[in-house]
This record gives sequence, C-alpha cells and structure tokens, in this order.
Amino acid sequence: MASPAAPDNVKHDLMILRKDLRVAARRSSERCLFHASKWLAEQLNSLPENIPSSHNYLKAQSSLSQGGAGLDSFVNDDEEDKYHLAKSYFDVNEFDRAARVVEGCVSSKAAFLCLYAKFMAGEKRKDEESEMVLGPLDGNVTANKELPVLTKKLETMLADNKEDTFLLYLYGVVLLKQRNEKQAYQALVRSVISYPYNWAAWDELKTITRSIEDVNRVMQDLPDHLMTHFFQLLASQELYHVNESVYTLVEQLTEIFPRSSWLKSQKALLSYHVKDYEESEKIFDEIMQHDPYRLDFLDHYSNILYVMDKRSKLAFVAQVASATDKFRPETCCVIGNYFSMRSEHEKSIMYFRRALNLDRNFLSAWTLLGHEFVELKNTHAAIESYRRAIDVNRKDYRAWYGLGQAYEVLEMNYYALYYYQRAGALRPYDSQMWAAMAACYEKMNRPDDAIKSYKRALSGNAGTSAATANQWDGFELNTKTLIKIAKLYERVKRSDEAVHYMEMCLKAEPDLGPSEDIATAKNWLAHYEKDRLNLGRALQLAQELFDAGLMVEDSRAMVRDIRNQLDMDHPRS
Amino acid sequence: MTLPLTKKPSPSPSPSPSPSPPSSSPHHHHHHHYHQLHCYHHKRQLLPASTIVSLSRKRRAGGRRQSASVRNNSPLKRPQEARPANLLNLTLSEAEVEPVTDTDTFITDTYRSRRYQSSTPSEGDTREEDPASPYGDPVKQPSPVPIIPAPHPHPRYFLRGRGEPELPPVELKPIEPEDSDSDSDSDSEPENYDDEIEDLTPLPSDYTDSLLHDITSRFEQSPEREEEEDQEPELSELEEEEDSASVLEKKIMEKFLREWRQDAVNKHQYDSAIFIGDKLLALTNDPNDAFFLAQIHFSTGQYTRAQAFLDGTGLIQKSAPCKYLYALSQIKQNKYEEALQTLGDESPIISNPHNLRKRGSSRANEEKYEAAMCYLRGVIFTKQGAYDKAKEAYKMAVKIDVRCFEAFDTLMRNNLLSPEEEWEFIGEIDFDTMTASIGGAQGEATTQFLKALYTTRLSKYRNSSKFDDAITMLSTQYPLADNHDIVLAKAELLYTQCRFEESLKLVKELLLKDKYNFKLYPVYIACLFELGKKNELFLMSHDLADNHREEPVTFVAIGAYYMLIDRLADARRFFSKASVMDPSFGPAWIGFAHTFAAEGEHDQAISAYSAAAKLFQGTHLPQMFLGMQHLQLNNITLADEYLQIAWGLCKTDPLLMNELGVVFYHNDHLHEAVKMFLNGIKLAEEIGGDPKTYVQFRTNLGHAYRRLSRYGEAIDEFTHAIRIGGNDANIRCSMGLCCLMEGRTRDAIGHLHEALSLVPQDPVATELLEQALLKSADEPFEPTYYLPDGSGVVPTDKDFDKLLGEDKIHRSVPGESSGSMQVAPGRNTGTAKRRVGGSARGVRRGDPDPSIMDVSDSEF
Repeated sequence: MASPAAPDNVKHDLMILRKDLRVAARRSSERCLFHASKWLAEQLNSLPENIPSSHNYLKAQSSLSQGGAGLDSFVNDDEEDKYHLAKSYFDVNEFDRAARVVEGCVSSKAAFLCLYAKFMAGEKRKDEESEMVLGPLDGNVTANKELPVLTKKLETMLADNKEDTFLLYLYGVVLLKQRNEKQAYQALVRSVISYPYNWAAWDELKTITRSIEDVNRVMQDLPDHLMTHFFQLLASQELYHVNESVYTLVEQLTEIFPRSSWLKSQKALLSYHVKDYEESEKIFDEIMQHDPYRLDFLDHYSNILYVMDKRSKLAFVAQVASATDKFRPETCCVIGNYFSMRSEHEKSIMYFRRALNLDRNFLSAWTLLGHEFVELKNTHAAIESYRRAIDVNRKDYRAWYGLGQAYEVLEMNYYALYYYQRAGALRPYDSQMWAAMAACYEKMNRPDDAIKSYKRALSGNAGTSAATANQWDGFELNTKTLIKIAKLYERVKRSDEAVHYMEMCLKAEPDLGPSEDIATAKNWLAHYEKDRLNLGRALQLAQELFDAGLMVEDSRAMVRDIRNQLDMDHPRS
Repeated sequence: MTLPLTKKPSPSPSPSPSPSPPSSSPHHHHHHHYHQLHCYHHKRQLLPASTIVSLSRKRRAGGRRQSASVRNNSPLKRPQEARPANLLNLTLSEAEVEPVTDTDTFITDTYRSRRYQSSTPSEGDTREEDPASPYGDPVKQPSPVPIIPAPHPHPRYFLRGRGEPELPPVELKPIEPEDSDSDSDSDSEPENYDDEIEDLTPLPSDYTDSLLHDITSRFEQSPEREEEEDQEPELSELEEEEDSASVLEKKIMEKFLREWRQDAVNKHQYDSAIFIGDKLLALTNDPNDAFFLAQIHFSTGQYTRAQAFLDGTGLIQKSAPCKYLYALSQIKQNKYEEALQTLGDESPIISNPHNLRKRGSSRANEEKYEAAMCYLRGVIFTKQGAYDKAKEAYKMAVKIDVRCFEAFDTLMRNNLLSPEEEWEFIGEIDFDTMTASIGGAQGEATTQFLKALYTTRLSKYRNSSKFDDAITMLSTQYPLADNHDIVLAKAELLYTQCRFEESLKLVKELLLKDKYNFKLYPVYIACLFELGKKNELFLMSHDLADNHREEPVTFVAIGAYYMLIDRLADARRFFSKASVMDPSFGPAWIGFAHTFAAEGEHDQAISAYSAAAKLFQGTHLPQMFLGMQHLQLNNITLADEYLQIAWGLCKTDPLLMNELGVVFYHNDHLHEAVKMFLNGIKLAEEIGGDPKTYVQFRTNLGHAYRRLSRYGEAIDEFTHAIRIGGNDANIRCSMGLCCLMEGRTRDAIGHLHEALSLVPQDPVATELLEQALLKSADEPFEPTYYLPDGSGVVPTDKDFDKLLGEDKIHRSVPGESSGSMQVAPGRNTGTAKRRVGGSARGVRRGDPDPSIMDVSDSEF
C-alpha cells in the first residue's frame, strides 16, 4: 500500500490538470480554434475518477502548469464588447466583418481574433478562387492574399516582446503557408513553451518534423510536459515510427486518459503501420461502439478494411458515417474507399473530390484520389493528386511511392527514382521501396546501384542491424530478389558474387520447398559449374532439377550434356 | 511627390512581357534572371504613371472650383456639359445658336473649328473650356483646337483665366471692402484665391448685406483707390485736373454708375456692366474706367475686343495692369509671339534684381504686376516649348513676389524643378519683403505661415522632417489640420512612401467632403491602382465619365482601369485622349507610355517616355523609365546614361537605386550592385513604406549574392522576399539554383517543385529540376534507419554486403575475381568522387558534366 500522502498528491495533480485543461479548452474556444478546443475538451473528459498511482508525466507537468498570464483579460470594456461582437460574427463565418470590428484592439483575445479572422477570410477566398479540385486555379497558384499583411502585422505585434502563445501560433501558421519552416518552427516552439496547452500549436508543429531525427531534436527544445508527450506520440505515429518506446508512451498516456478515443485511434494507427490489421480493426470497433457518432480517423479505418478486403464491413462503416454526416471529408473518404473496392472508380473519384471540396488539406483524400487515377490509367492526374498530398503532408510515403510509380509509367526514371527515394527515406525497412528503386536503376542501366538497392530490399527490417550484425542470421529471404541480385552480378561480370547469391537462394529450399526461383538458381549454378568444369556438382544440380520436374527440357539436355562430357573426360583420364 | 507612385510593384496587373524563351539551358537561366528584373521594371512603370498624375493634378482645383460655382449661374451651359460625348455634335449646335446675339466675327470660324474638333479626339478640349467660362459664351472662344499637344495654351492658365483670379484690379473684387488695397488687387495670391472660394458659399444668405456694405465701402474707398492708382503717375494727373462745383455733382453720378456697374459685375450681368461701363467712361474719360471696361470685355471671353479696346486707349505702355491685361488677351488668342513683344523678353527687374529689394512699398503694386507678367512670360515660353526659359520666368515671378502662387504652383505641379532645386529655390524666395511690408511680429508670423504652406507643396523625398514641421505648424497654430491641401499633402507623402492604404484612407475622407475636387483624383487613382481595387476604380471612373468628361483626369482614370484589367489597347486610347486634352498632364503621358511598355513595344514606349521627359524636366521618372526600357532592350550603356540622369535629379528614390543596382549587376559590378541594393533597402526602411513594395530589392539582392557565390546569403534574401509577399516561381527557381550550387540537391528539388506548383509549365524550373534530379540520382542514397529507442543509424552499402556475407565469398579463381573487382570498386570510387565534388564547388568548375554550371557561366 502506498503511503497516504501519495494518493493525495496524485489527486491534487489530477485536479490541477483538470483545471488546466478546462482553461485551455476555453481559451482555444474563445479564439475560435475549434479543433484544438475540441481535442482539449475530449481529453479533459477522458480523465479518470482517480489515478492508480502517482504518475511520472503528471508530476512533470504540475510544476509547469503556470503560464498564459494576460490571455484572458481585456484592457477595457469597450474591447470586451467588441470582442463579443466579433466572436459572434466569426461563429457565423462572417470573417471580414469580425476582423473589422476588433481592428486595432490590443487585448490578447481581440487582437488574435482580428488576425485570425483575416486569415480565415483569406483562406475562404482562396478556396473560392481555387474553383474546381485539380482545376487550373487549384493549388499553390492561388494563394491566401492576406498572408503578407498578416506577416507584417504579426511581426510588429510580436516585436513588442509579447510572448502571446496564440499570436506565435498564428505566426507559425502563416509562415508555414509560405513554406518557411525554419522560422515557423521557432515561432511554434516559442508558442508551446510559453503555454504548453496550446494544442493548435502542437498540431502545427508536428507537420514540421520530417524525420525521427527532427522529432528528437525538437524534443530537446521542448519543456518536459504532459503535452510534450502527446506531441511525441503524434509525431512518431505520423512518421510510422513504431516500437516499444512509442507503445510505452501510449500506455502511459492512457493511464491518465483512459477513456480517450484519440489515444485509442493513435494506438490503432500504430498497429496499422506495422500491418497488424486485426488489432487495428479491433480498436476501431471499440471506438465506434464507445463513441458511435465519432467520424475522426474513420477514413483510416476504411483504409484498413480495404486492405483487409472486408467489403461488407466497409459498407457498414460507410453507412454509419453517411448517416452521421454526409458532408464530412472523412465520410466521403470512407464512401470513396467503398466504391473503389467495388471497382467503381469514377464514383470513388467523385467522393474523394467531394472530400477535397470540403477540405482541401484533407490528406487521405489526395492520396486515395491519386490511387484511383492510377487505376484509371490517368497518370497525369494521379501525379497531380499525389503532389498535392505531399504538399499537405510530406510524410505520406504512399503518395511519394505513388508518384514514383506514375513517373515510372511515363518512363521518366530519374523522377521515379527520386520519389522512391523519398518514400524509402520515410520507410527504409520497407522492401517495396527498395525494390522499386532497384528497378529504376536497372532501367537507367546502372546495375551496381540496382544491386545495392536490392540488397537493402532483401534485408528489409533487418537493415537496422546491418550496421552491427556481421552475418545474416538466417531468416527468410526473398528468393526473387536474390536471383535478381545474382543476375545483376553476372551482368557486371562478378561471378563470385553471383554464385554467392545463387547459393543463398538454394539455402532457402528447405524452408520453402521447390519453386521456380530455386529452379532458376539451380539451373544457373549448374551451367556455371559446368563452365568451370566442376562437372560433378553441375550434374548433381541438373539431376535435382530434372528429378523435381522443373525446367525439364533444359535440365534433361544439360544432364545429357554433362554426362557426355564426363564420358569424354573419363577415357582420357 | 510623384516618385512614390511608381514604387509599388503592383501585385496583380503587370502583364509581364515575357522575354522570348531561351533555347538552351544556360540561356534559360539567364533569361530567367533577366526576366525577374524585367518584371520589376514593368511594375514600376505602371505605377509611376499615376504618380505623375498626382503632381500635375493639384493645379486644377482652383479653376475648377470657380467654374463650378459659376456654372450654376449660367444654366445655359449646363446641358452642354452634361451631355455625353456621342451627343457632342448636338451640343455644339446648341452652343452655336445660343451666342448669336453676341454677333461676332468668330462665329463662323468657331463653328468650323468646333465641327472639326468633334471629329477629332480632342473633343474634350473644348468641353473643358466651355464649362470653365463663367460667362457662358463658348462661341467666342477663339481657341483653336489643338490636335497636336504642342501649341496648347497652358491649361491651368486657361482654367483660371476664365475666372477672375488672373484679373488684377481692385474694382472687380469689391466684395471685401475691408481688404487692404494691397491684398485686393493681387489676384494671383493664394490667400485671395481662398477668399474667393469662401465668398462663393455664403453669398446667398447675406448677399444684399454684402452688396450694401460693398457700396458704402466703395464710397469710402474710392479715394484710397485713386491714391493707389496714383502710383501710376499719368493716370492720377488726368484725374486731378478737374476741380469745381459741377465736379462734385459729376462725382456723385460717377459713384452711382460705378456702384451700378459693380453690382452688375457681381451678378455676372456683363451686358449691363459693359453698357454702364461704357457710359461711365464717356463721362469720366478716366483711365481706370477704361481699364475696367477692358476687364469686363475680357471677362466675357471677348479677348480680341479687350485687346482692341486697350489698343484704343493707349494706356498699355503707361499702366502695368493694362499691359498685363493686354498680354493676357493676346495669350488667350494664342498670339504668343505678340504677347511676348508686349511684355518684353525679360523683366526689367532682372537686369538689376537688387533694386527690387530696396524699392519702397509704394512700388509694391507695380511689383505684383511685374511678377504676374513674369508668370505670363513663363506661360508663353512653355507654349513655345522653351521650357528652360519658362522655368526661369516662373522662378523670377515668385522671386519678385512671393504671392505669385500661380507661378509657384506651376513650378511644383509640373515638376519643373528637381527636388534639390526645389529646396534651394524655397530658400531663395524672398519672404522678407513680405515680412517687411506687413511689419513686426505679425509679418514674421505671416511669413512663417506662407513658408509652411509652400513647403507642403515641395518634393516629398527631400527633407521630410521640414515637411513634417510645416504640417505640424499649420495644424497646431492655424486651424488647417483638416484643410484639404494639407491633408492631400499628407496623403501624397504617404503615397510617396508606398503606404497606399493609409494614403487612400485620407484621400477618401477628403472626397467625402468634396467629391469633385480634381486635385485629389490623381492620388486616388494611383492608390486604387496600386492596391488593385478594380471595382472602386471602375465605379469612380464611371462617375467621372458621367459628370466630368471635360477633365483629363477622367480619362486617366478610365485608362488606369483598363490597364488594371489588362486591356492595354483601350487603356492606351484613353490615356492618349487625356494627353490630347491637356498636353502637360503628366499622368496621361506616362500612362500612355506604360501601355506600350506593358506590351513590350519598347521603341514606342521610349518615344512616349521621351516626350514626357521633355515636358517634365524636374522629375526623374521619365528618365528612369527610359532607362528601364533600355535595360529591357539590353542596351545597358544607354540605360545607364538615362538612369544616371535620373540619379542626378533624385538621389532618394529607392527604386531608382534598384534600377542602378541592376545596371551594375548586368555590368558585372556585383559588389557595387549589392551595395546599391542594400542602400536601397535601408532607404526604403527609413521611409517606412509597406515592406511588400520592396520584394524586388530582396530578390535582386539575392541574385547578386548568388552570382557572387554567396549562396547562403542569397537564400536568406529570397526567403525574406517570400515572407513579405513575393512568393513566385522565379524566386523559388533561384533558391533551387542556389541550393544546387551549394550541393544541397534535395533542397533544390524541393524549391523547384514549389516553383512548378506555382507555374506548372515554367521552362526554367523544369529544366533545373531535371538537372537536379539527374544529379540526385548520382548521389548515394543511404537513409537513416531508426532503432527502437529512436536513435538513428545510417548503415552503408558495405554494411549490407557484410550482412549478406559477401565478405566471406570464396574467390575461387583469383584472376577472374581481380578482373571483376576492377569494375565494382570503380563504381564506388566514382560515387565517392561525386560526393566530394558536390560539396566543393571549386572542384566542380572544371567538371564538364553537369550542365548546371553552364547556366551560371553563360549567365554573365
């Protein structure tokens, strides 16, 4: 039993956390940061009655729960009234009007709302001007025209040394829109340091981290805070970085927020990334049961069902989603996936387009739309879709890979190679990426590079141990890849290496049984040995082939040939 | 002043004439870079047109105002004014009919000329004059229709000449009897002009009162007035001769007639005024009455009659006012040579300027006429195209009499002086005599006041602190903070500093109070153009076209609108129309030239800018545009010459510094270019304009750094440019190139993709991307693998060889394997070499392979 002091402490920490989250949700909501507010309130409501034991994360955060002074006050009544008017305009999507009302206000809430409303007005206009999805005006061509003005205003306001977390957040967003990631990073980190409960800033910050290295670097700049752990989890998940430490992270957080659907979704996505589809499906089922009207992340669920080929369940999820809200991008994606599964690609494209009309930054829809265009052999449209997906999120390896495939179809191998490399950088342990790269090298007539890539494809997940391990410790090898490596070595006239890989291929026989690849290897080795006058081995291999009934014609001829040769040799010797 | 207008690189409209796409990759790049600069030129050009507009705009307001008020008194004129252009012929015929009563030899001529006019693009010209004539007799106007701008009369002069302000004598202005004589008879003073305006409004309410007052005061004043006239010795002698009892009776009669006459003039009933004046003259044979009658003739627009009448009196050589009026009548008839003969080639004072100062105040009146005559000389010289002489004449006019605002205004409005000259000139102006004439502290204060007023009119680029002081003084010590001239000066200053939003706000406030104050429109149009407010510009130009077809600014507004929506041919048509209406209207000329520039018709643009440069010698803009055109034509030497001229005129235009930097850049003086760009940025920051305006500086500075191989700095500059709103494919391309040169191929590819997402078919970006991708394909690709604890490892290809047991390969036949070994490691060493080359540019120089290098080489 823990001493009576400990539970008290925990309770105390919990109360503080509850209060902090409450305040944070309100602050975000007052600034019309609706998604952040929703997330914070969700976590607030998933707190337990009490916490099993004193929690590491909580201890760290309670000492840092201060911050955000001046975020709630107004300099005078006039500004407060104006703020309320502006907020009400904002709530009914009258952004320009809202911005005008609070123009020139200096109180935190009013000043932020003014700039944010301007930003939103610009975004709205940008969406309107973009017209059709994938039309000529869609994309970077149409910019948010308010950005330069906002940059200037924010710079002057922030130059006053005001560490207003929300202004810093907005500054970061504006800079990100201009693809100025270096400065955006600084702004966002300042923002979360000055007020860690600013979830909106965390959410943007995650888009900057492009590799686990980035995440590790960012972590050093960040405070040791509960929210930092949330960020770490999210960033790792988005980078497909799944391992023990990430699982520990989820578990730890789940202890504090046992009822959090968001955390559950993250867990499901982690399982999805390591291709543990059943587990992932199970978790999503749980979420749907627990929170039947929740649409967040349902598009990912539909992807999982698609991969698992569970058509009827996908149909069910699609029904649920469309009954809840037909005009949510998530819903459209689920339905699009469903039609795609039924090979009704035109319809599916329609739904993905609809999803994008609802939210042009909706990542899954761009990638999935690209896939559909590939199905329809519309390579150029596919490229454009994948590109847009990457614009939204550069960490989407599927889009990079899709781009590579599309360019390969167009026989633009340099392009394809580059995109495969980008995908490979995100998932170096994924053989598929390396095999694709190797194919490109082959087409570019660079066998040496192709060999290297195939080797990595062969190693797959073992790549991490490549630096340390001295020798293959004997797990399953892809015989096709082995053959390819061997043939390439043969091409560059390095027969020793070729033999090595052919032999490796043979070693797989006990596990896999006879197969075409093994037959190829045996055949090749037989010829090789025969040429080197190692006739005994050649005969043995050819005989094995013949006995197994593989490549019968060839092996029979060879056996006969070798026998003849042996016969000729014999008399002489 | 005008300078600012040009500044802003307009966001939307500039239809950049893309240079012919280069064929080879190096050329691509070169062109690309060039294009960047080129675009900038474009933008720049577009703007200045409107800038100039604002300069020339100011003068109009005075005349306009008067004519507007007068118009109300002559209803006959109104229908004509309001008629749209296509009804012009009809209008004309009405006008012909109307004045028949006033049989005049000119009728047929005028008729002919009018018909002629209507078929020429200069219809606006007549229209402009008609409404301006308060006496409603357009037919009388002998003004020949100037199809070619050259011999056109000075516009301002025209406008105001029709109204009173040019007319000097006391008698016409009796409304304010309490005015001291010295004030009342110099109409060219700014104060006087203000008075007139103020008079016009309250007139209806206490009109009779003022008349009564007027009459009584006339009695009291008449001796005084005569005294004043005494200053002309001959006239006074004549008057003094009579003296008897009957004289008194006669005097009463004269007084009565004079009042009657004055009353008629006040009511603009000139027929009665002529009738009475004629009788009065018969009674008195007084030279003053003769002069007055001539004035009335002049006022009705019967310039020949006034001239002939004055001829008959023989007063011309005796009296300065008569001489002035005589010359003015001649000018009105476009008889410039004769007018110049009347006036003499130069002022007698010129020969001995110091005498001027020493003369007693008794000569003050004389001086005023001398100044006015100097001004007339300036007008004549302008008409004759002798701009230098005109400038001197105007300057002399102001020097002789500070209050000759006409001359001062002409100098400022038409930018006849360079900014430096302006400030020098204001130092030369003799405010002291005025101080002396008023005397004491009051005199001092008045002088300060006037000086401040004048200062607000000066070039905004120089001495902005003095300008601020002047504004502060006028706002605090006098209730002029909201006066439109002051606010307009502020708006112009803001415009000069490229703070368009703020400037627009001020102008709009002014327009609320006084919608058809044409002084405001050039700045207004320029701001709207800069901010791309098409819709507002559309509404405004429609409104102007409906109500004020006679104003050249109307057509400039329409032209600006068409330019904004990229209909250059239409824009050119309207600018041309405006410039025909008023050849000295700067914005029209420059807008006209801009339309050519925007279409890439460099030769035509050059000739149009040259015409503008001839007309506006005091502003560096036309010279700068000429330089820019030559830059675009790749005539770097010529461009340099023109830009140096511009530089001589104005050293404080950041955008000119940009152009000069570009010339340095093209001449391979990269360090100088960098210095110039940096200075430009510094200056721009001091001025405090919208940083968006200075995107081009940052971009060009980036290019200069790039060519100096200072890639890091270059990228910083480009990033800055993007942050302040310059996100375009060219900048992204340049960043890509820099990264490529630095060996950061992957970053380069990112930037180039960005460029292509902005302009999907951009040839330069496509070309560079291909090179970058090829290069990237040559680079080893060894990504990081992450261990469960999050740490990353970067296994090399060798590690994988080891992993797969290649190191254990048993080399059965040494000879064969050694042979094969040569092939494989060859590849490896090749990779290593490439890697080295990628990071150290110096090594790459000699490398024949990467075509990227060709780009940078050929660029220079």
